[in-house]
Amino acid sequence: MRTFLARRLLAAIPTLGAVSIAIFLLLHSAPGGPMAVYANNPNVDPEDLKKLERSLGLHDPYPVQYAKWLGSMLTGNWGVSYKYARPVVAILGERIFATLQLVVASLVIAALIAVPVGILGATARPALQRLIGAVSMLGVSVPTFWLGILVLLFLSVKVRVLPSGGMATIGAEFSLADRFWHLIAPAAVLATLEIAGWSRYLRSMVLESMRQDYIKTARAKGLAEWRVVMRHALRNALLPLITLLGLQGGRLVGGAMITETVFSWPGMGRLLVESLAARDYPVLMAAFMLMSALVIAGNLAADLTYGVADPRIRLD
Amino acid sequence: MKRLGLVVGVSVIVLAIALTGTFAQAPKSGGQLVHGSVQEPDRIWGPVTGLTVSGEISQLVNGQLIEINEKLEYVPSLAVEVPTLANGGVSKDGLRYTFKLRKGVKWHDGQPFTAADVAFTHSVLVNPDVDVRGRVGWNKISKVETPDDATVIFNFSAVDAPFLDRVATLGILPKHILGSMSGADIKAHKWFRAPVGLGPFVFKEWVPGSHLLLVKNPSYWKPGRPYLDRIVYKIVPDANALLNQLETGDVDTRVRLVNEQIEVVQKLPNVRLVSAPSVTPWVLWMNETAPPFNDRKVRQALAHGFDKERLVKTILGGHVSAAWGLLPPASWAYNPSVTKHGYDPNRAKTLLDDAGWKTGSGGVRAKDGKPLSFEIANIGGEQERVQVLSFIQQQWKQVGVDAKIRTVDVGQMWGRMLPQRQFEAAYSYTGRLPDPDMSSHYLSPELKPTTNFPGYANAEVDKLLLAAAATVDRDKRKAAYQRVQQIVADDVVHIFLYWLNGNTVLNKRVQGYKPAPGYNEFWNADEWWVQ
Repeated sequence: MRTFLARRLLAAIPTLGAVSIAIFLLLHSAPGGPMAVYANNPNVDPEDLKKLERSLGLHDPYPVQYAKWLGSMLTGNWGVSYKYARPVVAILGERIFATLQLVVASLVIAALIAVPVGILGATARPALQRLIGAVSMLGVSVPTFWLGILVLLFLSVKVRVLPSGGMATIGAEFSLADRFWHLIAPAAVLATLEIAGWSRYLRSMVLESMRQDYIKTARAKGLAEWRVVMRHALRNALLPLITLLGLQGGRLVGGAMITETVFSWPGMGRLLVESLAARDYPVLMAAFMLMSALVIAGNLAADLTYGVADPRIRLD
Repeated sequence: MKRLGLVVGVSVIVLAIALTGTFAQAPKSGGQLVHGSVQEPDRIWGPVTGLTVSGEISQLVNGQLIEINEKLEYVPSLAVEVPTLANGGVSKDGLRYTFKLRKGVKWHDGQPFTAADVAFTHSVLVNPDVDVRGRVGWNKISKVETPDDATVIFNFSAVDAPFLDRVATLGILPKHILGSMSGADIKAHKWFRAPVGLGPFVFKEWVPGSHLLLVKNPSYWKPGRPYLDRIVYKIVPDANALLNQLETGDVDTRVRLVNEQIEVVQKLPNVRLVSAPSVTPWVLWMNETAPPFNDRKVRQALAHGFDKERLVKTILGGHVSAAWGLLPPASWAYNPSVTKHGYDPNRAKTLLDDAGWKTGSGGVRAKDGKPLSFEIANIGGEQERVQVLSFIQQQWKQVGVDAKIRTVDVGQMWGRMLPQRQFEAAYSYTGRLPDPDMSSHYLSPELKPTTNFPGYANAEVDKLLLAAAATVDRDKRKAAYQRVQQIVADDVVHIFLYWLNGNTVLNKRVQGYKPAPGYNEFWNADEWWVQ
């Protein structure tokens, strides 16, 4: 186990290095730069813009710029945003917590609903199975922004049951209930895609498990059917879901952009979109590296958990 | 006795009702206004930001020496009067501006406002270590004098004709907070995210991604103002979600409404829409350093080749007005009698034939084996831009021109294509000041104009523009600009389409708003009140 862990962590370093180079080149190859937005301004002298770009190091050759960035990242200085002139760490810190809340909540909702739906999809009457299949097909096909706007329109405008966006009521005292009330709609909308996907996956895994020999044994022992499903089939069917969850790691940071926009959620996704348009390289590099690190960590965690959960797997 | 008492009593009641009736429309103090914006500000001082929304917050929190009202006139603000030639505030040669400052004005933290703050603001503007984006004009100032706490004198080495425009859009910086810092420290100072200013509203808090909170300045120098107690500047990045919030009343105001939502907003019962043209026109840029646009006949033909009036009436729903030149009708230098190349497809065809572009196969004209085909670069994201270009594309097809629309993003358009002249045609609006100076658009390239993307060069225009920029005499400037407008209209340097409209949505309870053509919509926010 320990050698496994050490090897994986060691392997992560060149992976992150390669990712950083790829992202750096991609970002810089897009034409225009952080100063593009000023070209339309009659008050702005292009000479001043060139001077600014030079002082930010944007006219250095790419290897020099990359080396400077790498050096400062490794020593803990994540740079200063071009747009906000604030340290990147501060900007990311403000937004990450909001996105984490949203994505974690959506994963919890997704798991709570997808598991029973998946089981039902495998064990219920054929008519009900077909209905569940059709609904989950819809769930996979519906675009998040459309669903989000619909939810807002019906539950926030026509019938004022939900707030119109944001994380909390502006100007009010902090209250868990208020936060929860604001979180429920965006988390649910974000979860739809997951619920639809996971329940279909779980259904096929349960069906697969039910065909195994140990199920026959369990039934032969005289166990009630629900016990057979819940205690035996389900446990094995859930294993691959661990891997799926691990892959969600990267999404924890940047994956909710559309939902965040529709629900005015002050998270990382929106920050990424705005920074992309503004070519705010320091913020973008730091955010993408964070996402890559989380994907790697998530995969590693999934593998470790899998090894613990399934005794048949030896990690070495 | 009893009857007299009854009569008196009833009269008093009637009088009271009548009086409250007349007072019903007088501004009320107090209340909160929630403004919705799809964009979030970054740094709250004009010269270091490219965002209009940052300028809006700066308008509310920072103070200026003078302002521009809804009639595009200068009005005094922190200066007690606008310097002019007539009152001696501007010297005859235009090289010396004297501003007399209001006395007794205090910063939001209680410190007194003095001429030293104005001089300091200038020093920051020209400090090479501060990342100021817009120092054009300010760097012509050779010396700033402050003979006493309430007088500032700007001495110029060369005339900067639009100087008052620049003063009207500049927020004053506090010397007592930033004065002792180096340029690099000023750049990173938190004042730009938590400003202490001289304006009608005091910055209270900023929750990133969510909102900014501004409260009333109790010691604002205008007595009785502002009327509002609080302004919540709410960030709602999705235009549809913002529309929802206007409908429910969660948001009271929204500026720069997208044209697609105008019809919907007009049907909402609790809001009203105020539309007013700005000084910013939409332009079809043409790269005139290469074929086909280097031939004046081709440009004139393209202008004649589509029906601008019909475009405005149908595609744009009649909400905007057609533009025929760089200066708006409201400008004091506007020339109403320039040649307007209106819709005339037959004339377009004749011009193209004369220019050697003969109709070829597939209906597209060709010359020397090359087809009359080019790309129009357009920034993606708004339906209306594509609709406008598609309309023009269709009509041009009828006269044998093959135009293709190419979608790019802001970075490509403004970072490379336009500034480096790597485009054939492009579509955007072009930023303008209320001052009619057109140097940045029409000076020959060797004179380094900042927005002459077509690459136009005309010696007579150069002479006229340079002469007009070197004097503050309005009559001389007007004569020169009228001639310039005629020349560039004949040469069809640009194809202007329509004036960018400011569409402001206001909840019916919001009163006092006045649209500002050359400015941002918060210019008179200290006069807004809610019922």
